Amino acid sequence: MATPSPRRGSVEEVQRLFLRHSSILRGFILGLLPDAHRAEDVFQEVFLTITRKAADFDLDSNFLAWARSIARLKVLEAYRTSRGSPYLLEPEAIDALCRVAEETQEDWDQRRRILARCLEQLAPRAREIVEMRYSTEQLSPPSIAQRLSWSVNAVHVALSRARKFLQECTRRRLSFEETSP
Amino acid sequence: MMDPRLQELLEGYVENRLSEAERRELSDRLIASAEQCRLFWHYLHQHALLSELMAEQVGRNLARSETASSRRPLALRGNGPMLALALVVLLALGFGLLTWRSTPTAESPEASVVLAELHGEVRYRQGEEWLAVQPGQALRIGSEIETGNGSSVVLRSGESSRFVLNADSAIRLWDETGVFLLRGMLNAEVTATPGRKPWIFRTEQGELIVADARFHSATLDGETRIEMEEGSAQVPSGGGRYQQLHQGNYTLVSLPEPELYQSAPRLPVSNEPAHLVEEASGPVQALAVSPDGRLLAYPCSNGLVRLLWLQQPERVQFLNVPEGRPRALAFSPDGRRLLVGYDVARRIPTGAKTSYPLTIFDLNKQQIVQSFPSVRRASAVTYMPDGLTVAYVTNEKWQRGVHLWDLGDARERLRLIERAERLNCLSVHHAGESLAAGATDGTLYLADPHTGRTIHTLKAHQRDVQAVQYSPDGETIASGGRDGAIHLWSADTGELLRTFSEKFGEVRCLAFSPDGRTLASGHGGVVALWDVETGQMRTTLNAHRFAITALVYLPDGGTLVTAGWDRCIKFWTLAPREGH
Repeated sequence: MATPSPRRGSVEEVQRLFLRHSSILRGFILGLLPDAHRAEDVFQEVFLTITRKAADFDLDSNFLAWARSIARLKVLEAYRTSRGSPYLLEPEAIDALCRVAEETQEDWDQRRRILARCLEQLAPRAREIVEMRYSTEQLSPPSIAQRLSWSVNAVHVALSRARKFLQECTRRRLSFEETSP
Repeated sequence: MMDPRLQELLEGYVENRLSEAERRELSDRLIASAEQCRLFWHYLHQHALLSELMAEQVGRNLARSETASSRRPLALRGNGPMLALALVVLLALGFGLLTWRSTPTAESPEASVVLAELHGEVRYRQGEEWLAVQPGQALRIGSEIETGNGSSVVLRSGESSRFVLNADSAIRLWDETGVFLLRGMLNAEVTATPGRKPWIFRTEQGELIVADARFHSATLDGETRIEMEEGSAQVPSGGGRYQQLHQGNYTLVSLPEPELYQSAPRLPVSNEPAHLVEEASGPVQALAVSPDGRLLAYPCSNGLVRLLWLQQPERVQFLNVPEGRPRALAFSPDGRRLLVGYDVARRIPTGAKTSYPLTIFDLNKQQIVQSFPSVRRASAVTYMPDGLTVAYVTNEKWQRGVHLWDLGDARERLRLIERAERLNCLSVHHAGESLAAGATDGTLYLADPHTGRTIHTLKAHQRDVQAVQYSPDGETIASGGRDGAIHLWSADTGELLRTFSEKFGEVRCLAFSPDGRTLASGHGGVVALWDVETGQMRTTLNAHRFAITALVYLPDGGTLVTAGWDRCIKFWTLAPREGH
């Protein structure tokens, strides 16, 4: 009996899938390459690559796994081409992270909703620093320090505390939502 | 929980300041353990989500601006020409409405409103053109709708949210749960969206966060008037904080300085209570009112907890607490649960042998849903604003202090103000930034519930601090002592701001009015009402034959409820009175 031939993706279809999963993919790339500007470049290169290779994609297979494998290669390429900048992580560590990412099923929308609520609970100054660090300006800690007339270390400490608070708040809220009758 | 070293390495990783050795250490940890990889992703996902949330916020701010009439894709960097070409291809494929945002809300069905009833000419903007709309037409995010002179439109979102855009008005749909009133008047009846997201209404001057309520909003000539008809909402007050608006409240916001409408202070309309409840079992030691103002709860001397439905005086209920002596009560922020603190150890009705000093009742299910085995007595209790943590005071030997109990993890999270003298009273900042507790040696403690650190230790009174209360805006704290004094403190600096001018003897309880302008204090059988701004007394009430034990304002600010040793609970109607 003949095996049915795979349904090949069109440019339009893979782009739709890309947009649908863009949050997860951006998070994946930012995890392996935490510099937001470089990560955004890689993100857009992944978009171009999946557009170019749309016909290689079997519509009945896992789009996210395919896109992640492309993203992984693009990240490694970005590591190689960044002159003078060493690997952030060893390639074996990246492989380990990719394996776990495949196994992890997270409710991204739930996390985003919870994190938004936790952000509201940050003290005003901590929130201000988080906004400077993560909004479109994406100020580096030294730039934030300059703007606030703080020491760079004080900014690092404040950011670290804010992230820790958000992490703990998210964890507790998730746990509460899961256990709440 | 993440181990501190991994946390440290990940902090260095996201800020790109790991040494070579630390990079290797992090890599080795990841290679060796899938669990460490999972923790890595949890941490890094937060990093990514923060970027997304902040980008969304910037998008919303843009939507507030008149000039930003539609969303634009983020600027493309690097490989400019190639990527720009790709974008053109994408647009040509019909993705023009989608941006590089994570959630393509323009495609989700709840992202649109349906124009249900049209009267006269109603138009919507498409590009540079204004087109007439048809009944039943659905509009998507970013759409602008306007009515002309004498025309109006009813918009529906979901099953029950309804907006009436009156004559000569215009709105823009700026999010799946947001409307931007560009000009004119809007009446709305809204329900929370399925994800319990509230609706947000914005104008150039003001913002209203609201769910399950009806309100009216009008914006004209740099001024917005928001009036609640039913339910409650939040509006920003000064300093980026929010104040709660309830039915019958209205507020005016104008540029450049947001200005809240202030009516005359509300004071008792009569020396006789509007309503009286006699509690046969004995004195009532505490009162708690639900956030929506529908329920009043109090502990009875016979060990029961009584619930009164304030809109239905005939409806009374006792919670099923067969033994023990309930002493302190607090409603959860959503009003669905009641936390009860017991004066003596008790058993839960399931027959379990363990004693529990704290119990949470689910008011819908009419059953105990959680009990905490930690200490034997809890003398003051409250929910933290996140609804996930409760704070309580215990004066048990070795455990004295304020305890924070995590409801999600079902464990004690933090202990504050340890080794202090016995603590009498507790109050929490409305946003959970700090908490205050008063001790028997006259000391007032302010502590940080996130770190456990005591921020200020204030020698507040010559004798016991018997009552402490944060103002609704969280900027000041009132303390009342057995020495008869009432002091107002800065919650931020701990500075003494003022001392109220007259003494009526021992202060047993305090309550701020919901607008924060009046402080009620209970002394003996007398209630005194004070002007918070000046520290002057506004009026007094001979409320009870014996000492007052508790007093609370209902959330609409129109009623003060007092309880006393004379076994009575009295409801005092308040109304605006000029000249005070």
